[in-house]
Formats: sequence, C-alpha cells, structure tokens
Amino acid sequence: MLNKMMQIVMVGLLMVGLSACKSTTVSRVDTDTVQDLSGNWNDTDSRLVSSRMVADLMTQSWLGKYQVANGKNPVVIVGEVRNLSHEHINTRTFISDLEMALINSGEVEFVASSQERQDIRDERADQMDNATLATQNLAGKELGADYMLKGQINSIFDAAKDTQVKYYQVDLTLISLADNRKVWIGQKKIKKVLESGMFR
Amino acid sequence: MKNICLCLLLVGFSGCASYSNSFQRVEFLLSQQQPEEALVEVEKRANSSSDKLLYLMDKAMLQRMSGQYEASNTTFEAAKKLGDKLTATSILEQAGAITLNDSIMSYEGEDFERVAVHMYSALNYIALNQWDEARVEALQADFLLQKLREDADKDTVFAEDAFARYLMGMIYEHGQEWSDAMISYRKALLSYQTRNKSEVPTFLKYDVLRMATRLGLIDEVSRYKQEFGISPSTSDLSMRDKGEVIVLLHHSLSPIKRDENVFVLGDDGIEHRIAFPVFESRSSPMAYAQLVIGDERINLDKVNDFDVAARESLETHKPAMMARLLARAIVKHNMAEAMRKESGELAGFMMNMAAMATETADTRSWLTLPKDIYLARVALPEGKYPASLQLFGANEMPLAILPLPEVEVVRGGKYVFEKIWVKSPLPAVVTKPQ
Repeated sequence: MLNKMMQIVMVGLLMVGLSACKSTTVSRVDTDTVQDLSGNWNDTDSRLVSSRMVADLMTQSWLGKYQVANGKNPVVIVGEVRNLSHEHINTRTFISDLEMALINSGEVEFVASSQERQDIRDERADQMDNATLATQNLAGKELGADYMLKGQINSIFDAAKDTQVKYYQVDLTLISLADNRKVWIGQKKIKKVLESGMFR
Repeated sequence: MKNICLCLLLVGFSGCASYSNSFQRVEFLLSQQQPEEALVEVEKRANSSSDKLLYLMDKAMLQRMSGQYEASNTTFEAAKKLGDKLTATSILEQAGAITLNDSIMSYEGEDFERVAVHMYSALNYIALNQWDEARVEALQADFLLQKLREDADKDTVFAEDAFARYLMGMIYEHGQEWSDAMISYRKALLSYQTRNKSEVPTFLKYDVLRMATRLGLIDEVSRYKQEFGISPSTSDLSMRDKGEVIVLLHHSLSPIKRDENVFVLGDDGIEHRIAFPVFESRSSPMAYAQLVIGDERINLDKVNDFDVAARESLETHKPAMMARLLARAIVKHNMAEAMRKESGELAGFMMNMAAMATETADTRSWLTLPKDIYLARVALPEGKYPASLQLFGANEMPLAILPLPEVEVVRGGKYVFEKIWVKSPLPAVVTKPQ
C-alpha cells in the first residue's frame, strides 16, 4: 500500500522536475507554411488577405478605366486601416504586401503616407542647407494622390464550452480624392474553429 | 532510507515562504512612490512555474505604475496567453495538490483578475492615446465576460463587471459608436444597481442620459430622469463645445491572503488540521477624494472594489476547496499511519511532521491590484485648468494632495489621468493648495 503510493508520488515529483529542462530548437521554414499555434491572427491570415486583395485590385475595372481616361497610372496613398477586431493585429504586414505587388506590377503608383512624408520633408529641408546645388531636391514638387486606400478589420467571436469560432472580415476601400467616389471595395473573410483540450 | 528521502523531499517543497509574506518589501516601496524599485524587486524574486501568471500580472502592473505602458502591455499579453493555457486542467498538478498542498497547482487567476487584465491593458492603451487598441481590449473583456456567463454553472458567481462595462462604454463613446456605448453604460448601470442602488456613480447617470438623448431614446431619457431625480437640459448634456477630463485613482492595495488553521472532522471520524486561506483587508485612512479643477471641486466616486471582488471569489471556491483540503489531510494521515506500521514509530512521526510542514494554505492572489478604484469625469469648456487630486481622511482631515498636470481642454478632447496612492507608513506631508 505504502510502496505503491510512494512510487506514484516519486514518479510525480520526477515528472515535475523533468518538465523544467527544455532546450530551444530552431528550424527554418518556408514563409508559405501554414502553422496555426494559438488560433489567433497570424502570418497565414495576413498572407491570405494580401494575396486576395492584390488579385482583386489588379483585375477590377477601376484600373483600366482610369488608365484609359487619363493616359497615366493612378497614384494611390495608404490611409488608415482601422483594427476593430478582438485581437491586436498589425495591419502593416498585408498593406506592405499589397503596396509591393502593385508597385512591382508597374500599373499603380504609390506616394508616401502622411507619417512617412514628414521624414522625407525633413530630409529635403536638410538638403537645402547641406547638399550641393546640383543634387538638391526642391520642395513643392510632390506627387498628389488620386486615390486613398482605407480599410478596417472586424471580427465576430463565439464560444461555447471548449469550442470557439473566430470570424474575421477585412474590408479595403479605394476612394477617389477628387470626388469621394468609392471605386473599389475588396473583402476577405476568414473563419476558424478552435477546439481546446480539457487537460494539459 | 527511502522513506526518509520522501520526507525530506516533502519538507523541501515547503521551504518557500508563502507567497503573500514575500510581498512586504514591494508594498513598502509602493507606499514610498517607488514603483520602479518595486518592479526590480518583483523581477528578481524567483518565480516558480506555478506562480508564473502571478509574476506576469504583478510585473505588468508595476510596469504601468512606472509609466512603461508599452512594456506593460507586452507583459499583459503574455499573461493572457498563459491564462488561456491554464484553463485546461493539469492531472499532474491535481495529483500534487492531493498529496502536498494547493500551492503546487499553477495559479490560474480568478475571474475578476482576468477581467482586470483587460481593463488595465485598455487603460495602458488609453495612456498611449491608442484608443483603437483599447477598443480591442474592450472587445476581449466583453468576450471573456460572455464566456464566464456561459460557464456560470461552474463554481462562480462572477458574471458582470460594472467598471469594465463602464470603461468599454467610454471607449466606444470616444470612437463615436453611440449605440455600443449606450449598451455598455446600460450594463454598467444595471450592474451597479443590482449591487447597491446608492453606489451608482453620479457621472454614470449623466453618461446614460447623454447617450440616450443622443440616440433619441425618449422613453428611456424620461425614465432615467425620474429614477435619478435629475433633469439636466439637452445643452447641459451636449458635448459640442466641451472637452472631458477623466481622473482615476487607484487606491491602496488589494486584500492579502493569510493562513488559517481549521480543524475539520473527516468521514474517518478523526479531526484533521487543514490550512485555509482567509483575506485580510488593507487598512487605509482615506475616506474620500476630490478632484480640484479650475474653480470646481468634484467628489470621486468608487467605481470598482477589488477588496469585495476578491472576498466573493474566495467564497465561491470555499466548498470545493474545503473538500480538497480534507481529502488531502486524510491521504497524508493514512500515509503516516501506513509508514508507522511498516517502518516503526519514528518513520511514522517523521512522515507526520512532513505532512504538517507541507500543509500550508494557498495564499496567492494578485497583490499589486488596488483595493479599489475611484473616478471623476467632468465636461469642461475650452480653456486651461490647473488641477489636483485631494485625499481626505475621516472628519475631513486632509491626507495628501496629488498634483495633476495643467489641462488644456480643447473641444472634443478627452484627457485621462491616473494616480496611484498607497498608504505611507510615515505621516503624509500636507501642503496647502496654491
């Protein structure tokens, strides 16, 4: 009776002791690998959003219409993407993906956002004082944007017992700065079901 | 030999001083307004894996007291993640709790503490002027409260948190989400009312009236006016040309758990000694606080009482805890008896000693939380206002003056200030207001 009990206690204590030693292992994986750990918003979600948005933005009619009417590429500025979801989400990841794909396509041009611009202007002012006349970039020659890209992330979470459903909806809108027209709306919906274990 | 080994091992486990005892130095430093030093103290305290959650919550709290809001949020995020993981039951820890003591179980956090994590994280984001991120915390708190309500059949009564609701309302209102704000204020109001009618904060009455007016809920407006016995005009309620100053006072510290020995008669007919945790409130000389802003003096209202929440939470765990503690006492007793029979009186005696030594109550709780939170919210026309917070003891005796920065109110602006006050063991130096 006693020995049995003691064995159990000993094994228990041993396990407590052992669980303390764990060494870190690192393995590099392709960034396209889907790896869901906690069920929170992660790189895969960000990638799904950007690939969907890029494909949509490039194929819709607004781009062709603008190019035909104006004989040049549209200039876009990135506005605020509001995170109205249940999680702290970095929206910069898919927005940069989007910017990169569009700039590389050669069909759309981007201008620096309002935060980025300040740095550039400071540098330009600095050039006026310090750079040689031939290499100075003058103020007042900035390119005005035709469209602003705005958006928001919303979410609906639901849970009962050990099951949780997470639904995210990312909406991006391209608004004409000339007349407030919305020329394009892109949407990506993501739904996940999480099952959590009873024991750890 | 093996038996002695086991005894020593058991004693070894009890070697760590109880959690609440090791908090004295932190408390002292907080009373001296030295949260940075307290943070260093907590960081160097060895944190066993079972206390990890507490360590994170204490650390995040001290980081925010030291003004490190971003770092504090990172720590709160880690605490949230760990808390989620700990909701699952560990069989190993349960076995440990049956044979040793409750402190071997990972601290999972009380329900009210888990809500408080979101509240303080939201306040951090507000301090950083990131209201959208604060809104994320509001949604998470809402989701957590909803989950707690669903699981309400378990041993909990905590299903609503008036202050968390109020904070959510404030965040929604800032984002001009009027109907969401109304719903949150309404829930806060209901929650305060179910507790104690006299405890509805004055500003909340005006907040629900303002929201209801804005949303055109005429019936509700007249009902509230009648209920509260106030009838502000629409222009009084309008925020059109005003800004808002909101001041929070985190007063004193949450109650601390102490060991109490109780003798309980088990099914085996033997009286067993069990160690039970009981809460001890912190005494504080503060009776009330006033916000002095411009020419106005506004009393702060108590919006949250962690002292009460902690006691209620412990009360709900009592039956299950009592059963577990008694079961453990019986197991230990039987082990000692078996050892006595098998290896003689001495071994039995040693086992008994080891059992006694390991029988300590689980005195862990989130100690850096305040005892309660006071709040004042005031709408002011544009202009510059000198401001301070004045604390009073019994008989209107001035206790302390906490300076606030001069507020430059701009139309539509929201200015949130937080102050922490923990009773100093030395008499406070009181200076006359300028």
